[in-house]
Amino acid sequence: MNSKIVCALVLLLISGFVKNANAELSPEVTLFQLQFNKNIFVSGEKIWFKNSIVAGHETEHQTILYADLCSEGQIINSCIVQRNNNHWQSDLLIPDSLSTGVYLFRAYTGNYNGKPEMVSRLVTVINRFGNNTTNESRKLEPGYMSFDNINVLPADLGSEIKLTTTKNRVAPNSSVVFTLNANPDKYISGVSLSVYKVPEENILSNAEVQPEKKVISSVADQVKIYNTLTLSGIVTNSQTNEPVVGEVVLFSVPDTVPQINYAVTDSKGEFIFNVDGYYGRQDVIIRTLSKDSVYQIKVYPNLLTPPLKIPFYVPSEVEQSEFVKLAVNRQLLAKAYTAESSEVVIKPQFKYPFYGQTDIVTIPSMYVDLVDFEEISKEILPLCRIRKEKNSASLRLYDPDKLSFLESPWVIVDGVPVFDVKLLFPLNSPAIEKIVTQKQIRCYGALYIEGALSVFTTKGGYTDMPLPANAVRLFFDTFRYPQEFKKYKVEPNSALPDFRDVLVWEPMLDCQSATCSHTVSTSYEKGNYIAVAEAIGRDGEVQRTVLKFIVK
Amino acid sequence: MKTRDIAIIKKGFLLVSFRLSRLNNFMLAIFFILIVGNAFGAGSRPQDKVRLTGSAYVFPLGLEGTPYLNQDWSFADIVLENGMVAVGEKVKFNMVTNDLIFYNEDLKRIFILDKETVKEFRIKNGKETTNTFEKYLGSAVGFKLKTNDFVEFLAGDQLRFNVRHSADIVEANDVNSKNKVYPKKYYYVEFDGKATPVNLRLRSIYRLFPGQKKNIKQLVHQNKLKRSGEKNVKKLIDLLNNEPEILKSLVID
Repeated sequence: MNSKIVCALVLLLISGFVKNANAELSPEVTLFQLQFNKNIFVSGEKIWFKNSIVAGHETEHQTILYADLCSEGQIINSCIVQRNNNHWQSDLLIPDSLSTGVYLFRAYTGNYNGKPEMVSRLVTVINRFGNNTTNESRKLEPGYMSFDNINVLPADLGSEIKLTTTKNRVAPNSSVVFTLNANPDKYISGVSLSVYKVPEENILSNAEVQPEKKVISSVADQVKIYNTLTLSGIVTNSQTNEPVVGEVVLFSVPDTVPQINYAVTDSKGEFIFNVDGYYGRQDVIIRTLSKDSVYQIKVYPNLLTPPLKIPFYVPSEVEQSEFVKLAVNRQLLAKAYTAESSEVVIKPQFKYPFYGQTDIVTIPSMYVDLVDFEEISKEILPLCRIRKEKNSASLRLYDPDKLSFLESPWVIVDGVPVFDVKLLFPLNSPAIEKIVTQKQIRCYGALYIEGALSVFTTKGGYTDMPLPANAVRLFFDTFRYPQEFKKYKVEPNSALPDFRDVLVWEPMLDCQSATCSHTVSTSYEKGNYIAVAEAIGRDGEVQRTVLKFIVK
Repeated sequence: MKTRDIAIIKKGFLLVSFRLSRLNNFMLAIFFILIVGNAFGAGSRPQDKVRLTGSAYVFPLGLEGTPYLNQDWSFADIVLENGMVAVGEKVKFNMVTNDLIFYNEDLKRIFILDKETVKEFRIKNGKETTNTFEKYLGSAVGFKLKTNDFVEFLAGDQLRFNVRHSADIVEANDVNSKNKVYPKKYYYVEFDGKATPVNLRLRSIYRLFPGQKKNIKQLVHQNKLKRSGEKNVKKLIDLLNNEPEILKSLVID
């Protein structure tokens, strides 16, 4: 009987590990495959990228990816991307003003413990106005090496993916069909296809393996990167600089539907908000619930510290090459004529005011104009009484159902809790769109809300309002709105010229069977092109096939 | 029990040896369950606590009978409109007001859950049964069923069989008596956003399908559903969902 129990438990143990672990990869291994749509970028262009993840352990919880483009000691641009089918795909804009040089593109995701897992690649950027100060200064630095990834073709890897075409020479502004042979079930993040222009001469096939390892990172404490989008910081006492423990911190975004988030500071005075539901750049106000003590709030950065040294420069022969000059000219024309991407429509999220719905709404414009909020509260605002003391003012609401007063209602302006009634005083009738009075006692999670007075200004967005006590205001980047690389179709009678050097960028081909075809429309740009089909298998092995063809 | 060494391989290839004589079976089982739990649970995500919003609730006093569907506090999973799910909340369903009240553990108070924020909820009754409640989004049916009322889903798929739990409070005539609570159930059949009241007789289902009475009776006979009652009406609704030809003839005014 005892041996039977032991055998059953051992079998359960083994099956647990088999279920949980990838058979091919060790449990501690995580591999990324970072791909770009092409190998040379001009300032003002977008880097379209795909980052796939394969691991020997479960990674479903790692849903977000931070991607940034770095110079030495500086982050040029960044974005935060949501996961889709075991990979992340998006685009990152290179500013027009970015000088010619070699930069580092980093893509990293976090874990429960805040430890980031990163992959990076060097990127060559050419400034379209001829500004190459960064590159020239790096050439003079000792120990810096020349880096040429423009004349290097990606190498074939593995033999499980095959790409074929019926013609190796294609006319401009016509179509060519590529046939892909790959087992879609083997690649959990799909097979990508990119078709782009490459230099005609001096095409090398050897390249230094992983030059990114020569990049010198900062030794400063690295920021914690979690597997959800978070905003974190620390609350300290302004006078003693001691961390404040157990303080409720509120997070709000000025909005027409007031919603807040809250967190409690831990033993180190730190707080953390989960901000998974936001897109784009958000205007955020963070404050403590306590308004009596004077606190300082410091928000931690969300991106890793940029590298200290990227010891590479673009060699002059590459910078001055015909291919690069044409790429710059092409970019100038492409900006005028083509739309590179379209935004994917996101379903609007359900919003509900955190203090609940109420039908006690006062619209000041329906009454005679009143000069300040004190008058408004006396003359037209129901259930509300403002009491002025020496240097302060307090507000209380009357609940006629319970015949009692609510002594500490929340005061909210444009969705931002302010608590200080004096901040409302300058608001007159023209400045206020509506006032909502909530006379009920309510809860929002663990927050006890003893009534609320919510004021919506005509300008909105908490514009021209002073910051409440113990508050900070900042712009916070949340998820990038998903973009789609625009697919191009040949239009024989179209008057618009087509200067594309990237004919196709498909991060995940829609292939239901082992063989599928893809039609590519060539542009007016004549020259050598390559089609690259790439994927990473469950065993972590990268499969890549490169097919050359000419547009002539 | 024989003494023997057992080697346990953990993820990082840790080897542990035990002597069975020192561990009884129960302890060994607990140990293995912990290891297996680690294997299955590796990478599990700690759940952020879902924040429920509601208004303060005042218990009605002086009632004979209970206005609640479940006498004792039950655990429920609440699916919110924003997609989040609050798991294991202590709730009671008030039949008189058609509200779900919940116990806020942090504030140690009871609140009425804001109906606008709820999509559906599942009340667990004991280990096996779960009652699923949804928000009715169709148009009002008389005074007994209004839009946004919570109704309990009983059976069906495309054609749904729901019940609206209700209760009336009748004021006491006598000074010394309490007001009495009379619970009621209103049954409905819902299809494509429209609902119609039915009772627990099979006849009330037949009349919804003009010209198909014979076919439905055949189904009833084949599945031995002759007796009326909630159980058999549920079974009939489930059967009708698999008969697209019969469903086509459904008429709901």
